[in-house]
Amino acid sequence: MKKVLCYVMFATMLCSCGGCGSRADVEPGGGSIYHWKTVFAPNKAELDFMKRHDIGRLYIKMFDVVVEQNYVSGCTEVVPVATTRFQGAVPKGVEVVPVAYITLEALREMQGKEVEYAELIAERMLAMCSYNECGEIYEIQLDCDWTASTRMTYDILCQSVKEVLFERGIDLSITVRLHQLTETPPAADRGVLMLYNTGRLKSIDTKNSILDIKDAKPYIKSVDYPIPLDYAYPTFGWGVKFVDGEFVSIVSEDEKASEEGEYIRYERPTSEDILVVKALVEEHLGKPSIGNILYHLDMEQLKHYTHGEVDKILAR
Amino acid sequence: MEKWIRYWLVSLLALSGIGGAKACWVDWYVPSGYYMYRVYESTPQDEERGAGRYPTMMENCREWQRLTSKDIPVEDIIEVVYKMPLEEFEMIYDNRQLPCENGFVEWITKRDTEILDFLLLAKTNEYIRLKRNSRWYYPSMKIGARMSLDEVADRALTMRSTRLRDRYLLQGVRALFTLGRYQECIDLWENEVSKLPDANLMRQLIYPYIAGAKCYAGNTDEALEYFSQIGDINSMLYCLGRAGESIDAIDALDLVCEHTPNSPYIRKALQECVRKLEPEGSFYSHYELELEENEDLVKLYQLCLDMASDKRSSEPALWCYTAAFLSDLREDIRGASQWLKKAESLVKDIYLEESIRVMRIYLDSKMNPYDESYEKRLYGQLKWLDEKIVHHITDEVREVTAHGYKLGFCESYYYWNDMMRRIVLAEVCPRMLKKGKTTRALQLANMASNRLLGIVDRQEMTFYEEVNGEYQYSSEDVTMEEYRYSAKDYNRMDYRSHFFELIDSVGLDAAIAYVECVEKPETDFDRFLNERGYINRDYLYDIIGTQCLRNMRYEEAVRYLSVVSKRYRHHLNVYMNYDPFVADHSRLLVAASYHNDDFKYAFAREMHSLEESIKTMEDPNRRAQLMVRYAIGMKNSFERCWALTQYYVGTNYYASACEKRDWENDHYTEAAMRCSRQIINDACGIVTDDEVGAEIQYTLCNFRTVAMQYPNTKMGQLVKGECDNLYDHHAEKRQRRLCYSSYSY
Repeated sequence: MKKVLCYVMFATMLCSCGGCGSRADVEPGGGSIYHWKTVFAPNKAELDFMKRHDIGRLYIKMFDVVVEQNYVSGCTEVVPVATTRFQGAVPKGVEVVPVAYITLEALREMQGKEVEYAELIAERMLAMCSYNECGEIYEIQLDCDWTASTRMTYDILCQSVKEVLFERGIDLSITVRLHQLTETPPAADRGVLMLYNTGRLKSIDTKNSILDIKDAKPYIKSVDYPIPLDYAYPTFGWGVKFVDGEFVSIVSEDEKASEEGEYIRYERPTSEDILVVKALVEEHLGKPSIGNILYHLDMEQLKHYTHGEVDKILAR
Repeated sequence: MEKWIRYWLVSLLALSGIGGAKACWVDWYVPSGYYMYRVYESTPQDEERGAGRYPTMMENCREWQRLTSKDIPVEDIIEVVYKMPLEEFEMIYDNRQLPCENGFVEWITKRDTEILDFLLLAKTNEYIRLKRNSRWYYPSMKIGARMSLDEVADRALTMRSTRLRDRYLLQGVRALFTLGRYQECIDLWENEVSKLPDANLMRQLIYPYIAGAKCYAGNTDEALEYFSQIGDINSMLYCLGRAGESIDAIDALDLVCEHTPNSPYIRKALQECVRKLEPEGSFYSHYELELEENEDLVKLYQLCLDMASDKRSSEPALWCYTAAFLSDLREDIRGASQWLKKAESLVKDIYLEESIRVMRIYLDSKMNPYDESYEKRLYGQLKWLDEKIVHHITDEVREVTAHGYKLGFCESYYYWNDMMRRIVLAEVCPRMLKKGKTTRALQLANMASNRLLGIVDRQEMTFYEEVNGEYQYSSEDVTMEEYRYSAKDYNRMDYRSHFFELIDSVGLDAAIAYVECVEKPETDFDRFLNERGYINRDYLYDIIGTQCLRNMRYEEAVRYLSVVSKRYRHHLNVYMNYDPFVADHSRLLVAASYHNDDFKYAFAREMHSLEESIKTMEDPNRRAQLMVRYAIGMKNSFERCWALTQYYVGTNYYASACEKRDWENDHYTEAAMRCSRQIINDACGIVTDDEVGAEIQYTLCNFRTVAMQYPNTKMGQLVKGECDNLYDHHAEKRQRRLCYSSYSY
């Protein structure tokens, strides 16, 4: 009897221990969406959108990791910038996946100090979640456009982050760009395949740099990717301004070409474009491991898609 | 004569450009860019006091010594208080019974644990504050200390230890400040800290936090007053910025003067402001600041006028000196002199007096006529400057000088030598040259270039050497003599200095006159300058000998080059891989008789010998052959074999003054080419024997002429028979496109 009591007590302790809960216990609703702004203050329309589409997971970008000059020491250092300020509460029942974007320059600078930075990045993300009452955290995500030459550093960084997270029962996910699909992924529990920014933004010859099936197709082949993947689809648009054929900047979709030699390429993937790509991806890479994700939470962008279209994109 | 003066002046003017651009790896300055304004210098005592503003380490450690035991070395205290990380201190705290070699640790663990407790709190406080000040910090991040910052603050402020009360107050204020509890900091100051004696070290350390707390609490005016008391202009600017007001450093200095006209920190702030207005003197920049209309300059000048007449100021000389300096920047030299005169009459401290004296030497060099009386005055002034150079030299200056680059690139690093160089090279030498006093200019430039090297007498030599069959990079410090005679490294100093620039450009006769004066000095001033320059005979005779070759004065070249020791010939910055008497440059490789270390002397001897033989040779054909050899040598010595007449070629040369001549179009080169052409024409004109004529043309690579004009000679047959190997009969046409284009008649 005593033995049984001990087991019961142990099990109770396990369940009450923060961070030890299983994601399966709290498996959120269907869709997911990225939040990629520096102020978290979802308005009513955005909250309604999340409710209507049963958004159960919110990938919130917490900060960028960049290299900056320290004017006191005269050296460069890897620091977090553009830290998201929470001015609104996370909707109840929505799981937050904190995301940190790491620039390639910062990744290069981290070489040899990956363990140190892994701890800083993970601790800071978790501290932000705790401070801003983001609820239980089951996964954190790193976003980095790593290349073959920085793969090793990124791998060590991810491995170190995983070690920090392991004892807390938190998974690590990474973003995967199309060109990275053929590479062995760094140590991570899962990945999110980014199905946007597929074309060359700065080329005047590009038709749609956000999503063009012609650009994406060569990369999407039947592969047995080593980690489970979810898929992120673009629900945004913009204008790309050129002067005399040279890229100038990304501009709002409302901006019009005003001078001679100026040209604005308006880009916004239609739901049809997205669904074609979705079908292609699922055919070759299989269904998403958890679900599909929209990029990103901004009603000014999402208003261009009907609820039916959004549902189709999010549907598993 | 005029041409080289113009060259030197233009060169110096070009060098006097202002602004900032980078050379290939370091900034490269001109002598007029040396910082001259000097009212403040960071001394070792200042270093002890931190950034010159807040009292810190040594004073604090001495206080700890007073609180514990005089027998404990200060180094032991520094080790524990300043260097030991929290983790290590916590181990000592937890294992206090263990013996320790550090006397301070022994004392606080065994005899005075009250200090041990205090230091644990202070170190925890600093540890947390450091973490919180990290860019990575986010509220709620786990910091890993045994206490939270709130606990540190509470404990520090509830401790009632009378002996350590002031120290706990400092810790309390630091913790509260970091927590953003600014009003509590201010209350503590008003209720307790301000009642401590002014000399109390902790009170002084707390003061800046109170200034900051007032700033954050929104009491901008009070904060400014507090910051101005400690001359913290940057914090004043920050505080005003927070309050939405925008002022610059000069306005802030103005505020400091208004609140505390005798603040000991004014000098540093003032120097920082003036330094921003001084010409940067970067070599590559041609940007000129229009100082007369520069608002900052006008504002600062006005502040100087106000403060010079402000009865509250105890340092009117400081302001008069600054006004003089600013007047000079505005090119009002008379005004500068008047202000300086006033400063001279008011100055009380030696440091400022010396800066004023330097400026007087500088203004004299700009204002006085360059007559005998000025030379006498200059002699006295240089003697004084020289004493200062010798007297104030430090190990650090020696080290930097031995490394070489800062001296070569005119970077400000040793005030006394910098000032001597600035005044001599940027002001006196150009005016001496203009006056025709070339020898004096050379003597002065030599002192400016070499005095410090002579005092330090050490130079870093870098070279590759073979170690165990592998070449590796090495360096060693050697004496200047060893450096100058070593064959291991190029001489970076002597063929790039301002003296070298000058002697290499003043013309041969002026250079010879200088060397004669070096050998037979007439006045004390001559001797003074010679003793402080580098007047090694090998060095000077090699330069003169080379210039003789450049002037085609071969007999004299032999005279000078023959004196250059064999030991020195090993180490010149030029070398020779070609035979200067071969016209066909595919066959120019050095002949066996040409030894690299005496190639100049060998060339001079042969050219002189050819000259003599040409004069006496009666046989016209033999004479023509000698003439052609002579002409080829002359031409080659300016082209492929340029090392015979120059130390560098092209316009990019890494020297302190790198604006180099365009050697190809230089008048020496043009004269040599003309002369060479004429001699060849003359030689061809006196030939009577076809075989000789053909040989000459063959030597000159004029194969077509050989084939066409001398078809029946041995050479003619050879050319016709082997035309394919002798780049055919069109050789002359091709040659015209190459550098050996002018062997024609």
